[in-house]
Amino acid sequence: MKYIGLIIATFFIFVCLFFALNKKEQTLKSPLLNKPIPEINLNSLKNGKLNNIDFKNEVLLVNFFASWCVPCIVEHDFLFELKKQKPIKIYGINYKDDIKNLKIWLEKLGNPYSKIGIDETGITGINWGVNGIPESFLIDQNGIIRHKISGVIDEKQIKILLSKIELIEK
Amino acid sequence: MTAIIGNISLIFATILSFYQFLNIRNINKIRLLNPDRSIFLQFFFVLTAFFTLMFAYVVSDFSILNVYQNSHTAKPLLYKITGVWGNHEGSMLLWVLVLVFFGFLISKFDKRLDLPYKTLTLSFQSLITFIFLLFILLTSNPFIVISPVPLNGQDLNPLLQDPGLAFHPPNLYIGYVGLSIVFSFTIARFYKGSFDASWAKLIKPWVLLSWSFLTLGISLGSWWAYYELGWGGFWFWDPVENASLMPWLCATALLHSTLVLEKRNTLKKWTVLLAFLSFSFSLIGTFLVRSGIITSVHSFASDPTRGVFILMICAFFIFSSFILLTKKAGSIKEEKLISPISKEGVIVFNNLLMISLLLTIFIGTIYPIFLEIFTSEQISVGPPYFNLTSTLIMGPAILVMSFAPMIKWKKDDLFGLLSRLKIIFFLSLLVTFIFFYINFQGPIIALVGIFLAAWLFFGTLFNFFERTNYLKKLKNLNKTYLGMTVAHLGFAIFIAGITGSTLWKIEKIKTLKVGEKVLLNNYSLNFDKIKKIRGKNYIGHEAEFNLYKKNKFIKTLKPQKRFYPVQEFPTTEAAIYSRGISDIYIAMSEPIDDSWLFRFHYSPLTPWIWIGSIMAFVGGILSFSHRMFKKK
Amino acid sequence: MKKILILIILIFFSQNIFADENLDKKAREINKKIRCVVCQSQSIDDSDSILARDLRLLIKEKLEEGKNEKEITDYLVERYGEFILLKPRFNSNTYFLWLAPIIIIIFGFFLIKGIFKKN
Repeated sequence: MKYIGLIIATFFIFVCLFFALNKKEQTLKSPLLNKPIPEINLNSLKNGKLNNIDFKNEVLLVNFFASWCVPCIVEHDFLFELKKQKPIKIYGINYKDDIKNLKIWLEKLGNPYSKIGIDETGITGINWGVNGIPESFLIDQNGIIRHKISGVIDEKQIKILLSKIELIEK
Repeated sequence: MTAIIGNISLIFATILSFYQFLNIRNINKIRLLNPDRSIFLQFFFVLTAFFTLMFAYVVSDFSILNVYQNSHTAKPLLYKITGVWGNHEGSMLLWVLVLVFFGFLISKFDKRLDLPYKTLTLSFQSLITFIFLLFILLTSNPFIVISPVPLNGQDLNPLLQDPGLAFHPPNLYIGYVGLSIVFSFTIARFYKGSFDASWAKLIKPWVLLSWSFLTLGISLGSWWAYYELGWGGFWFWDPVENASLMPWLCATALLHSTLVLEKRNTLKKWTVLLAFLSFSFSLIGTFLVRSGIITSVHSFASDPTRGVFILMICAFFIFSSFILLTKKAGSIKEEKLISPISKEGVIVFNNLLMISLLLTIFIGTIYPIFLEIFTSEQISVGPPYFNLTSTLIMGPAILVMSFAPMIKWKKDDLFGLLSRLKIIFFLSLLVTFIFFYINFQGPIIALVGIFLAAWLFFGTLFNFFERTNYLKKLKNLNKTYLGMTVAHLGFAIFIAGITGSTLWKIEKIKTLKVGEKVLLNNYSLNFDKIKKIRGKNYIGHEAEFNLYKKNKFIKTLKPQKRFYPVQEFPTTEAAIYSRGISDIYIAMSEPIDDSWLFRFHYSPLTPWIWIGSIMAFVGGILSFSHRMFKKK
Repeated sequence: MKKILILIILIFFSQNIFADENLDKKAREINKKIRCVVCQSQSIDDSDSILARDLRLLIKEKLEEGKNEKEITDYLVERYGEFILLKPRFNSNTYFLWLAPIIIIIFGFFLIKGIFKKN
């Protein structure tokens, strides 16, 4: 009687646990997906500004990075690789960094960014729901965030990005 | 060579356990591989494998993959030894060691068991052992060899390089895995004997032993987190912590339920169910920790295939036991009815609350997983949820726990009881006011917590004095009764501890330069020095604080911040000054220019958390020692 | 006149000090409910990670601007999702979670009713 109920409930729990094992996402989903980009109003490295106006009419990648971030060094080469495979505009957002160190870093490793916004306090990072760096966002021609990559963009991520971009441009 | 010995030992143990399970009906003492010899050999071989692995760690034999992944020549010897169980494969071996150890214990020491029943029990225990040994051999073998042999290893997670690693897992496992023998005793009873008072007497010492060590294990883990992790908390309702708390709650309910079965020969099916559930929650806990379904400070490196394997093992044991109970429930003779105002009645009430809390914690722990499967939404269920639900459920439990030992079996008089409680009520109120005035004050819930702790404390003490006729009859006292008293008093002290620590803590986060000081309650902490330090496998900084109370020097406290280069991992070694009724705690964070960031805590009653829970452990062992040596 | 002026100034500043202390307390209360998303099982009150510190500063700023707890948590949830709240909200996703303990206890009472005899 009551034991049958117990067995059924337990069975249900086990089935769910089994599915959970296979389906578990390892990363945090962003609530900003498929929504317009948050407000952005930063000074750019080469005078001028980086704000919402810069996000119209083309597919873009926004990349949060810093000179003190070790994985960003690894990612840097992949950004150039990505641009080779698909000439996409990349905006960099320099997160909680020192401009002097940034300039040295860019000189040493090269500059894949069309524009670099300086987020000294990290408030823009919080506005974009950034957990840590590197983090990147793929944005379509209407300013909608279509994909978020937490962590380094590597070969696997490049493939995913390219297919997403294809999807957008259809 | 080492790997060969290890692997062969494991294989022998596997074959022996399978053999012992098959020979479930063989009670022949004369045979070469009789039940006692078989279990001894299983124990011998698993122990050999275990020590072989330990040897490999001590000599830094990096040809063994497990040693390479978790050790380093520069690692201190204590952590080479205890690091054996600081990883998935090694701790799994410890798990199985405890399994066979309990089998061996009952074979060698429990003279109350008749041979057929003992044989059955050991066979079922061997089945559990066999399945877990298969799991080890197929997915988690610590004796995998690598070639070429690396020059050095990857070192052990620095958080684990601490004396806590020596104590927390072994004690926890004795508790956790010890519940397996209760499980085996229960399954075996379906085939030989009945679920009556004599069965309750049989399993009671084993429930007590497991429960006590589970209490100790959890307590040590919490204390370890407090001083090692660096943020001054002792419990985070982390899924892995919950995984150990759930079997504990079940074992507590079981402990009390067997009391009723023993004295009144009722609550049979319920006790059987609890016996099954206790080990089931141990298994589920093992699954949660090792399958990768949950990420946590504790979780071992996970592998989905292992996860599926463990899930299957859990399903096998849990469903078989439930189906067995369902099928044979009819043969368990009818239950006697219980009067609500009686010891049985309050124990049922206690069980209701323990199991409700258990199910609440279970739901809270797996809810985020389930929600994500069904809706793709990710949420967190954290301390606010668990703190709220556990205090609301435990509140009434503590209220009743105070006078429960005073209530008579069968039937008691409620009003007579309540009038005896008047003095306890006033004493508790008095204590609460005292705490209110010694610079603690509100919030209200803290006072409720202290009141409940005092209520439990005085109720238990009052009952003890009554029973021993105000200590005159102390010599004749049943050790079990003494054990119960000590355990309940310990729990009261524990409740006071968590109340004070959580609600009356004074915390300051400050950046200080050398020479500056901070005021904490009526203490002064002067930051006098900072120096570089170097250990066997780490470098770092140590700050020196001198503690003063009203200009009188008390102690020097030296918190450290370390960095372990091989693992690229920083740790915070907090400095704690414990006065018995409060703690002063300093944790170092980062340097900012020429200052350092520190966290200071003044935590009243915090040591009582561990004093109380260790008392509970001692109480359990006292009761166990009485029952164990009681011959038939 | 001077004395009254000094008194007024003192009162003004003490209000600020008290307001500041209250704000600090309120900030800590909120911090304890916000998860540090880059740590294992910690609130931003416990954690010393960079993100935790930035979020603590942000919350303090928003409190100074006069925002209340709901507005602050809404702001964070918009950017980090419900995951960042250690105390799950009571909405259609969590009815079962919050009601479960009550349901379990009531269910338990009915289950054990059968074993009790009438007095």
